[in-house]
Amino acid sequence: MIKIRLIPTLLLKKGHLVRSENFIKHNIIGDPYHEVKRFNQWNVDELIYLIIDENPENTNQSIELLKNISKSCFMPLTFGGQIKSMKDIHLRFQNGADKITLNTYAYRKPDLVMEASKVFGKQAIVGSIDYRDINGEKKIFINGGKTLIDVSPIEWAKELEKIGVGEILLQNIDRDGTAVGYDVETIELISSSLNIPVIALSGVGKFEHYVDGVKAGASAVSAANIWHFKEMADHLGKTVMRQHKIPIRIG
Amino acid sequence: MKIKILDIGISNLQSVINAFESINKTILICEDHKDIKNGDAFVLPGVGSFDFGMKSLIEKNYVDALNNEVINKNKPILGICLGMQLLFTCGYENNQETNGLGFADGEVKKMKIHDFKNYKLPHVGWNDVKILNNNGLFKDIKDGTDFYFIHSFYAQPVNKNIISALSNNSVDFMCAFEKDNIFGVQFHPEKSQKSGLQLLKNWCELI
Repeated sequence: MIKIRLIPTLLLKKGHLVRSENFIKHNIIGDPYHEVKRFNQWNVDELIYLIIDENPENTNQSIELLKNISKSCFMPLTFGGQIKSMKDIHLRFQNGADKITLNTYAYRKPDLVMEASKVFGKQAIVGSIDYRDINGEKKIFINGGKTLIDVSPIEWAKELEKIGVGEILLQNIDRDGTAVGYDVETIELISSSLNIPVIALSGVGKFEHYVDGVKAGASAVSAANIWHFKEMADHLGKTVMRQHKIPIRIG
Repeated sequence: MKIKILDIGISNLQSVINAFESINKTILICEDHKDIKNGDAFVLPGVGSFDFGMKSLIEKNYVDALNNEVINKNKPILGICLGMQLLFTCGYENNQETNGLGFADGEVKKMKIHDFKNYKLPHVGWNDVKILNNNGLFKDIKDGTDFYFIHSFYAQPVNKNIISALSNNSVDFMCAFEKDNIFGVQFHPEKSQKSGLQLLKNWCELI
């Protein structure tokens, strides 16, 4: 039986690991090499790295960093952020990515998703959706949460599946860094409407929140801050999941 | 023993190289089709689609060179993920039939899911394997060990006796095979932590 994955998401800005709140506040929290070493020792299921730099020079710096990280990392890696073209995608794969995520440019250039999915296979292309509540309605955002698009996350998720992504990474901006738990309603709506796996992200403040995400239908549960601020976050997270009879991999 | 890894342009080569290095085995990137004869064993990794993978092997003039070394000279080859699929007769990705290398008889088809509530496609994540042959690739690996999978297509061999492990995603499918000097795994040993490294170590001892 396929296991529910528990995935740390790490945010990189100017070569540093940062914690984020509502996509606006970013505080430096540590040295990525040290963190990866820690995660390797924990034997986690998978890692997602999102580069949130806006300056292309910093992006190159972050890619260089990822290249070094992947050398000591025998687990699947997903790289996201600042990917605009087939060339950018190729560069990520050459530097150690197993999967890439597209957000802004999946919206701006759906052809890019189609082409990437044809060449690299859809399993290597993750569609990332950022959304938040606008006057009682959920709307997607691109550009790192800066640009509102008048489309609902469910509509966009269906479209992404149609044009060829192999997974959805679902982030609720309102919950980012707030520790109030996942937006289970949206996770449930999207995972029950799609045939591809959904990775739930944003809102986790305690390990029980993972269980809520899985019950809502997520194939993988991810979080960022909790990995930095709680000791033994992998072991304890999986212990709680196992207590709730969720199939997990024991490292 | 010189192990060469084949670059078909769409793979994450480095992670395979890193994995071999971590078990103290040197693995060199094959420079071009002329360099193939210099290898004693080959690793064909791969992410990507069947048709693009084959197209790349053909464009690089790897097909005849590999045939000569693997079929005529019996040198070992290990296919990983798409690399394993390419070892079979033909595949049906991107809505077209594409001939594979044909080192093993069988077809590569899209997985059929009967229940999308409980099973998704692509089949992504850690899944346990049912080991049928624990003398070769899976020596010292416990039945039911989890490996990392990421694929939508699977290979269906004509000869079921070559299957060394099965996994399940709504239906059972072959996830590893061994046929004389030809080896293939659908999962990614280079991404499967300790168990994956053990499998690569086993392969190095078999060849």
